[in-house]
Amino acid sequence: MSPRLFALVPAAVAINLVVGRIAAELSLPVYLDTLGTMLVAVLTGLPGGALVGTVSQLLAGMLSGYQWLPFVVIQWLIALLAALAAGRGGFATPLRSAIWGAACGVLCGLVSAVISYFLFRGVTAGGVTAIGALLRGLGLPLSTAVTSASVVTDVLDKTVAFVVVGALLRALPKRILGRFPVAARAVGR
Amino acid sequence: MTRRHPFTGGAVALAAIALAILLPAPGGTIALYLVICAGAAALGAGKAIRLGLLAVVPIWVLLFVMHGVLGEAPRFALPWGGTLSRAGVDWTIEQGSRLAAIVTASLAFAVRFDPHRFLQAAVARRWPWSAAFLLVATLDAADRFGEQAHRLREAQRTRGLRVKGSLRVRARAIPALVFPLLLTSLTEADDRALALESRGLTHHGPRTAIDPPADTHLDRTVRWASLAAVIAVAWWRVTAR
Amino acid sequence: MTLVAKELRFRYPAQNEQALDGIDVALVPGAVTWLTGALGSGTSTLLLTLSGLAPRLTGGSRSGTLLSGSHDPATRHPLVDGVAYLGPSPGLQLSGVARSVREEIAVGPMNLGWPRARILDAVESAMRRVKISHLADRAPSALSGGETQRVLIAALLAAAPTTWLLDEPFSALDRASRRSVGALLRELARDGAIVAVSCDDADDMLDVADRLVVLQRGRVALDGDPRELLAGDALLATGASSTDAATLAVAAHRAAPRAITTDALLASISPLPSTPHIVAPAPTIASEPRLQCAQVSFSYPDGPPVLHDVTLSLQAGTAMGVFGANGAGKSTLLRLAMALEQPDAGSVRTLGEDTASRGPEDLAPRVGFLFQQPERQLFAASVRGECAVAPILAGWEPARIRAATDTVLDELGLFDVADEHPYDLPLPRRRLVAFAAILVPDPILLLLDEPTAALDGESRERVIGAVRHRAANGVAVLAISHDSAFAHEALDRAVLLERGRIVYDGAIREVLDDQSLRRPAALAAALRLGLPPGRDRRANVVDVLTTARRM
Ligand SMILES: Nc1ncnc2c1ncn2[C@@H]1O[C@H](COP(=O)(O)OP(=O)(O)OP(=O)(O)O)[C@@H](O)[C@H]1O
Ligand SMILES: Nc1ncnc2c1ncn2[C@@H]1O[C@H](COP(=O)(O)OP(=O)(O)OP(=O)(O)O)[C@@H](O)[C@H]1O
Ligand SMILES: [Mg+2]
Ligand SMILES: [Mg+2]
Repeated sequence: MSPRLFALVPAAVAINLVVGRIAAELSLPVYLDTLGTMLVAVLTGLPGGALVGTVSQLLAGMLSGYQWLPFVVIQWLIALLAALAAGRGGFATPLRSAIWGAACGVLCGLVSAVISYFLFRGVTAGGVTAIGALLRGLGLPLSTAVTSASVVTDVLDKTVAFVVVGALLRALPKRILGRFPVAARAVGR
Repeated sequence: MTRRHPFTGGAVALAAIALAILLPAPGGTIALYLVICAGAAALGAGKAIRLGLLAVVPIWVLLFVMHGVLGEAPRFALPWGGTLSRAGVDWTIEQGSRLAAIVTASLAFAVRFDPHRFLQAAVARRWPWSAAFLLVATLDAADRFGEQAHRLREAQRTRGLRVKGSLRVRARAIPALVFPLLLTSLTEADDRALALESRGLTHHGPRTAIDPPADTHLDRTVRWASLAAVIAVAWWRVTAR
Repeated sequence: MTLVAKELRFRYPAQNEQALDGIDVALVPGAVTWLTGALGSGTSTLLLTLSGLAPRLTGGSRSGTLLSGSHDPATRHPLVDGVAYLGPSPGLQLSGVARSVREEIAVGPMNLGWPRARILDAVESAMRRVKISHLADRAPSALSGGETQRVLIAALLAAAPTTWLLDEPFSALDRASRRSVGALLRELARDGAIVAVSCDDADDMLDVADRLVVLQRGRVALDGDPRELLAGDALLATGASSTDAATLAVAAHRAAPRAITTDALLASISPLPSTPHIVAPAPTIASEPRLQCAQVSFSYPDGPPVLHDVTLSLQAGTAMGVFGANGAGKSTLLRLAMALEQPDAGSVRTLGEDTASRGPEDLAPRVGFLFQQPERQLFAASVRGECAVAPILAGWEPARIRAATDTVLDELGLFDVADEHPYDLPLPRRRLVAFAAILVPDPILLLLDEPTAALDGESRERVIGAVRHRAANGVAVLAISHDSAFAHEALDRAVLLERGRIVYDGAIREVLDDQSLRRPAALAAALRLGLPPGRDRRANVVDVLTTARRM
């Protein structure tokens, strides 16, 4: 593990946990618990991002219980997608970020729907399950309700996340951006 | 009360979580939940029970709504009218108790977790340094994050930013803080890398535990016992089929 | 084992010009080498490169050869290789895995895998040598600036390095600690270590350094005996700052070789008639004090008492210095004045309002507050943006903000970097940005925590000028400093804190010789010439010296 990661990973995990916690306590309809993962994935590449995601999930388990550990897959997926987006200048403008975010949201939504349906029968954390229950109440079969609920929330969440990360990357000082060529490409510099 | 070895708590918590998954619900999981609560209270982690409830009650409600109320037939009638799904209510109780057990065990572990004793133990046991460091440094990073938030907040207040008062005032102050906070934590991480390197924290090699926590017979017994318990239950579940 | 650099070049990532542009130096064991140069000349970068941290961690590209004995430092881990590197910003250097100062110092040896007993010895003796044993059980995050810097030096010392590369290691230290750390560096060199220090304060290094290396735009401009170089003209050409005495002599157009120590300067003026024409100090307008502390006592939540029964009052147009050893309670006093803390007992009245019922946001922007290590408290994405924060919150309209910003940036020599990201500037200028940001909404009370710490010579002059100018225009200034030249040239009153008690409150001249502050040449000369106190004393001294030269 490179010395830079030793400093970057803890900071990024802290971002995941703290921002995620704030979002949860304000009971926003988004999780925002992958900002750090995405940032590190963009700055240093997939392995770093995956590491951040894993550590975040392990520590988040301490706060909310280890039953959600399987969702670490989403952290890995988002790290992968963020790294991909970075390579293709996906953070150059707010619009591009939003588009990439929405696309990634669909993917993450489907995957988390599978986890949520088969391991938890569709009942996981607050917001998304509430929506699921609503759709179920409207008479949709459980699988459809769960899938659409988690796709909807993930599209929203990842769009916001990508836009925020894009804004952060574009605001980074040249000295930092200069050290991370991929990130520079990500914001089209 | 003498502190147990850091690994012991972890082993017990892991075992509890494994059992919650293995034991037959609802009987087994409910019993386990009660045992965990008792254990937590006895080990001075009673806080975990309260926090655990705060975390699972909403999930219970959602379970009940999603499966009990909106569940499939066969349904049974309630004395005061309305019907519930038989399977749904069963699942609500099964999954509800299982999650309660896992959450409480996790939180009890978290409440009793002391990062620095853990680091000492990990070093003494020659655990992979990066893993141990990341875990501990991250918990510290969360604190530093808080300190940095405080520093920035003070700086902004000395420039005239209002953070107290009506909800609107406070809400407007949040983005003013969050964005720079994320940025500085990234830029500072960059400087910190230099500090960590020059202090040898990124160096791969044998390290010395300054005050390695004592590992008693009791600790070892407890850890082996938890492992045995998990294996036994797993065996029983498999053969019971 | 010498550390040899040949044709050493280094360029930071995404930068066009080389930060190091063909450096040839050989650092030999047993000598203390002092690196200096104008702003951005490359001293910090040279230390990073010599330690092997650049480009490995910083990124960028290096060329030329660098050999420590037979190997390239960049291929080894610094600590294992016996290399101690100390960065310029103390707050960022703490390990973050220690709960107490003792643990913090043990981090290095622990990572080297020494036997436990040896580590404990090393830690204790390191704390003794740096004189911080009394801090052993304190939390590293709750130390004063100078205390932190000393802890970090001890932390390096504990790992028994053989090569020391220190970037501005004195910036937050009081005079006594500067002396003892300086002495420590000499001991280390005597015991065969390589010691290189980047420092812009010549008076701190004069008695410590065996050799002076002056950089200019990434090249070695001068390399030789410190005293000779300081006395000559060549140093000025590089834009590096010199000693008090030398600066004074230069201001008075004294030809080289110049006096570089106060004593030499005094010797050179002793036969003068002491009948110079004198600019009287600005009279202070008697009115309601801008700041008034009455029997203030304070202690941090889980800490020992910090301030006891502190009483002081600051009038408009007065520039008052707060002096005292590291940990005396200076920053804490400033925090109380800004309503960042509330006194346990007594009362603090800032701008005539009791701080008990208010917070800093009520005092801003009429009160400007500069933190110690302000580089950690910038939050805008450009220098201009940083300067606009306070005025915007105060409801100024854009045109006015722009005008005010331009004036201040011009005054502080930041105009050309107005649109840069503060983090993209060298540390000294980054600190200057924080200063600019509080000046823009022209406050009537300035609370400054070590405004010249770790600044390069030019930035320092600009800060001195800015403070004097405002004080002359009726702004009240309360400034903490360990910088005697700043104290003497910008301030006219002083309070001296000793372990949280005010032990002196009066004209500046008398305190300027206590353990926290060195007696600057200009003061000594002024006393010798019998000049009256006051902010313009330096100018008077220069006058006298100049006329004396013409006679
Ligand atoms: N991390 C960095 N990324 C890009 N450029 C940098 C970085 N650090 C320094 N530089 C540039 O390299 C040059 C040398 O900087 P350096 O900090 O070594 O100067 P210095 O001699 O230490 O001056 P001072 O200490 O007074 O700032 C400057 O032009 C500076 O802007
Ligand atoms: N946040 C804190 N919590 C507890 N104690 C603190 C805290 N900050 C400072 N202290 C202690 O209070 C005392 C005074 O600190 P202060 O920062 O005022 O010293 P100072 O005079 O500014 O020293 P320096 O010249 O090193 O900046 C010191 O002993 C310091 O260790
Ligand atoms: Mg420097
Ligand atoms: Mg201080």
